[in-house]
Amino acid sequence: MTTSGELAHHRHPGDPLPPLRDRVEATLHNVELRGALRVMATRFNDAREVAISAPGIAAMKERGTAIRAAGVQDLRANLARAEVSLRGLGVQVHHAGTGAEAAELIADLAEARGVRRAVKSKSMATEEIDLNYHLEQRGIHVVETDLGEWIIQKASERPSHIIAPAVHKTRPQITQLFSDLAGGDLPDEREELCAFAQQQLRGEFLTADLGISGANFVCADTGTIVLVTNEGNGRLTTSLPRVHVALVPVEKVLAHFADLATMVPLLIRHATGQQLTSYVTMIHGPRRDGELDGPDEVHVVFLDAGRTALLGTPFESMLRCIRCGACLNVCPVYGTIGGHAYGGVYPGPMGAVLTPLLSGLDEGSELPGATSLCGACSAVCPVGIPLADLLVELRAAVASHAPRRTRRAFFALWSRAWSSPVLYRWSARAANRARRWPRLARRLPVARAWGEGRDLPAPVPETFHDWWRRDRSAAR
Amino acid sequence: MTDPPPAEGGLAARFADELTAADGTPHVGAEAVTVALAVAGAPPTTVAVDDDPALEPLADALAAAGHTVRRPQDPTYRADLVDAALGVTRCAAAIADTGTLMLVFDPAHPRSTSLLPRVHLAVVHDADLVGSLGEALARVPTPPPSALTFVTGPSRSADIEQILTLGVHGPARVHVVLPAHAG
Repeated sequence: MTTSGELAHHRHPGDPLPPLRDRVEATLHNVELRGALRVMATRFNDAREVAISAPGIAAMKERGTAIRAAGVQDLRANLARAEVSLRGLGVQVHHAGTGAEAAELIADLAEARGVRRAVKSKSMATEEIDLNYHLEQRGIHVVETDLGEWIIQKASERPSHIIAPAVHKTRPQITQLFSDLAGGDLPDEREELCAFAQQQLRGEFLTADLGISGANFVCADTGTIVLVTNEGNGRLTTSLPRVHVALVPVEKVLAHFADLATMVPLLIRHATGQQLTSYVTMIHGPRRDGELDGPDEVHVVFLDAGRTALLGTPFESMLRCIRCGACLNVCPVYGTIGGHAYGGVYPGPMGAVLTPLLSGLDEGSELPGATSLCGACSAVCPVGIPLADLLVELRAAVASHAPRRTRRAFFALWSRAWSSPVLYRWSARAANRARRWPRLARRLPVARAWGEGRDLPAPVPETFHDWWRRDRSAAR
Repeated sequence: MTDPPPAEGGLAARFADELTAADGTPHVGAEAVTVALAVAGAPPTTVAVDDDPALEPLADALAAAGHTVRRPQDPTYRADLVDAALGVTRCAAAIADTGTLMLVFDPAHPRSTSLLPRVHLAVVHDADLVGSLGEALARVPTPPPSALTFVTGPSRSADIEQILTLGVHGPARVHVVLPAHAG
């Protein structure tokens, strides 16, 4: 049996993954996790509700949707323009077709520049390509510097929420973890724990030769790299080391610098419910002559990894996603099982759509089925992605991708039977008799997995057809 | 019919309210020198001051009070900043809607002044104040600087127990001196 602790463990792409059923089962028994998820949902949802009820935000959402839809539609042209703008600023631009290529490329680049130590600011794209592992394989010391990411890196775990990666860790667990690192007991107090992390990480910043970040946006017209952060580690990562590498999924490109006036507040209000985060940093190439800080080299690695293949498909709108995490926070499924049960890097509704699209229908094929289709995700999405519709589309795609013979035969048989009045009546009567066997659902041989945790609705004592016939003969 | 009343107190007052909401400390109509002396702590501490004409009196006053004042032109500025108690900057714009400072970096205004010390003090002038993020973005110089940062209050994290802690990597306190009667 899988435990939720094992599930939290870092896994590399291609590592075997326990079946979804076991993953869900494991998390359902973790009482602490479920408590933390409840706190998180309340905190984020309350803050977001306030932030997006301000005047003008509905219009901002419409503008943001239009900006992202147009940006994705012209993705190839925007990418080409972004590359020209970035090069004009002295940024070295690279393209990676796959995650493995991107990881190789960054590791080669680091090695060629004699990099021994790297610091990272939070980036889901680097999680997607398992960058830390690849750099460590080359003997490069890599440190996550976002507090939550550092906690889970030290615990050899993976993020369970795209903007609150360590939401599944309790304070006593963190105290224990940090005490082990400190080689002595640390007080079980938040301020002390933060101070310990800050002091440890300050040393890492001052000795690192490479800073690795993602990007929230890149502007095609100006080559601006935008980072939205709260702790300040993003500023340190892009200011202190001599080389900065930004791993940028291709869909992060915006057509215009002016779009930031809409996109930055829209993202933040939906992500944390703030008006603006503590820091919004905009980078335009390496340090200039006479500047005391900033890297000597800035590299942008554009990551495709299955993204441009979605252009022109029914799933193109998924490329609008700005990773605010609002759909996770409102999702009843995510709120019950948490992020790790999804198995991939991206959890929640956006993950249930994106994971099968990026890693193939085999890898994430169960995820679109593990959703309630309640539509809360579609309603909250700041850029109008019809997530629930995409989940339905994906279910259809999964079904036609890997048709299951028994299931198909069953439904074919059912369809045939219920097309015949005689067989329909017979089956209704049979179902009616079944009420004599309580908890029948979990005893059915084929549907045992489905019946676990469910009961069939209690049938009325008499079928409608029987009643109708009796009633009419009585009237006569 | 009467016209709607002007926003109460104008841009500086709005900035101050929003900064307070973001856990920063506004000082409306205060003397920059007085605030700097108060937040630098008991001398001698190390204070980093950007190379900005408007900050010269403040740098002189801090030195006169016995603080070690470091300027970007000092060869060891970056190293000294690590132990500085206070970093003092101007700003390129101050956004009233959100209590946000727009810091544009160049050789005289390094990134680290507002980043490495535990406390950040910014001095805002009348002409810096704008209403919205969009107005501030329109003030980004062309060609654009190697980096600029919008700062809204102190560094923060809720990664432990989902409870807010201030000052994780960046400054734990942000003080902003604002003009008294700004539009």
